[in-house]
Amino acid sequence: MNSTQSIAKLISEILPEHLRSAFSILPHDNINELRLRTNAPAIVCAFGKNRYLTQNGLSNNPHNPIIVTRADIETIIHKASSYSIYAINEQLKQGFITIRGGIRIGICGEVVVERGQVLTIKNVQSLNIRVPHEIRGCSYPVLNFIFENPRPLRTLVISPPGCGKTTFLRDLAWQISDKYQLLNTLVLDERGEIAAAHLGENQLDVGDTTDVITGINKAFGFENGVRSMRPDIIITDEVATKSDIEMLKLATRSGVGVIASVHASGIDEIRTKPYFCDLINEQVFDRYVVLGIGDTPGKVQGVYDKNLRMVAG
Amino acid sequence: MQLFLLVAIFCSFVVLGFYIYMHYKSRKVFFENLISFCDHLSIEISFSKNITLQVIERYYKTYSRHFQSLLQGYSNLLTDKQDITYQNITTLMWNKLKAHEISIITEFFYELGRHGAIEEGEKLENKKIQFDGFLKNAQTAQKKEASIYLKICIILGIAAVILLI
Repeated sequence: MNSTQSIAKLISEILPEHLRSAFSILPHDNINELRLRTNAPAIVCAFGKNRYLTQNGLSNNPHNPIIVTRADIETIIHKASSYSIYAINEQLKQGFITIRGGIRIGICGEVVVERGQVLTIKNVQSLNIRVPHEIRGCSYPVLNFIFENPRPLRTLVISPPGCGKTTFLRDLAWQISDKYQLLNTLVLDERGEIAAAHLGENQLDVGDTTDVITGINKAFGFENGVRSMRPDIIITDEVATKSDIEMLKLATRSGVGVIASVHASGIDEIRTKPYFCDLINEQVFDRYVVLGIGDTPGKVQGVYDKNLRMVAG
Repeated sequence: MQLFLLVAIFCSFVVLGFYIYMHYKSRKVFFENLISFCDHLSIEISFSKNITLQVIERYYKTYSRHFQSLLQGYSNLLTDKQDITYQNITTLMWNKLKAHEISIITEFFYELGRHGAIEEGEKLENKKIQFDGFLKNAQTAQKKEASIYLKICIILGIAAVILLI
């Protein structure tokens, strides 16, 4: 069974019967998301387009889709947590659950707050089941541009949402492990999406010389990971906040190669993003890899140097 | 030959009495295991937050055969990602339990793992109180009835031997 089939099986296991039977007949290679909302039609994002899920497959017709019930949502959450909601509360507080296979389930519901702290999310009313894909080789074209034999260059991967940024980073970790076996890579997998560690085992392959810290913020990962694992390269996903950026700057000055990613449409948007423009002005990164919409996730549109001149594309 | 027959008859009555005694004892042990399971869960929920399957795996060997059988069935439901319903949990129940005991224990396993840590802890404490009641009843029954049945069977065995002599 290949990884797509395995992931489809893992998703099917947590679905109620009527959704499972409909999901099982879909072409899983091209499914990105399964969106389930209480008392609303089930919707699948496939080939980049949203369509209604029916018992006979996908349809643009809104008249006979499968309607998701509250009981369906509860069943999925219970099964996703192996009937151990208490064990996943830290993830719930952040609005998602990651299950085996690196499958991330985004959650919307009522946020319970006490003294300014989020305690949990209850009365969940909608789910977004995101399907991970392993696209081996999608990052290979940029390898030669982000290494100066054999040192890694400090690289920022820029991608709009849904273009395979995580898929790209996952493959990049694997490619580095494969090509540069004597380099130690540390992946800071805050949401468990890159390597999808589950009960101590990575569900998605990030290479044999890669260490993974799962479920912790980047500050902890950078400080403690550098000290304890002595990585040559750190890979981290979705840098967004001011503290993330401060950590990035510290890490790049520590001599460790850093590969990070950010949500943006391209270089121009990065220039205008708060705090990120400083990264460009201070030349914190040596390379910028821009991803875009393509026929597969992780499609590289261009590689730029620290002066924002295109070196490949 | 006759002596052998008399000994066999006496032993049969003793074995019967012992079997009845063990029935009461095994019920007591079952409820002790159930309470112990609640304690183990409370600790895991408070600290390491391991999933229920891992808790069961960790403590499985410390329980008696009958409780292990129940946990094995429940584990299989979780592992196979089946829906946890009252119906499929009831089928796992030990046949030596009484109807109201089955009802409460079924409810316990049905509700298990459906709540956050604080609520789960509170529910465990509430259920433990009910299970304590079952244990006390089982202990009382073992002390009074089990001993009496064992003695009655021994006496009947002796009486049968005397009559046959």
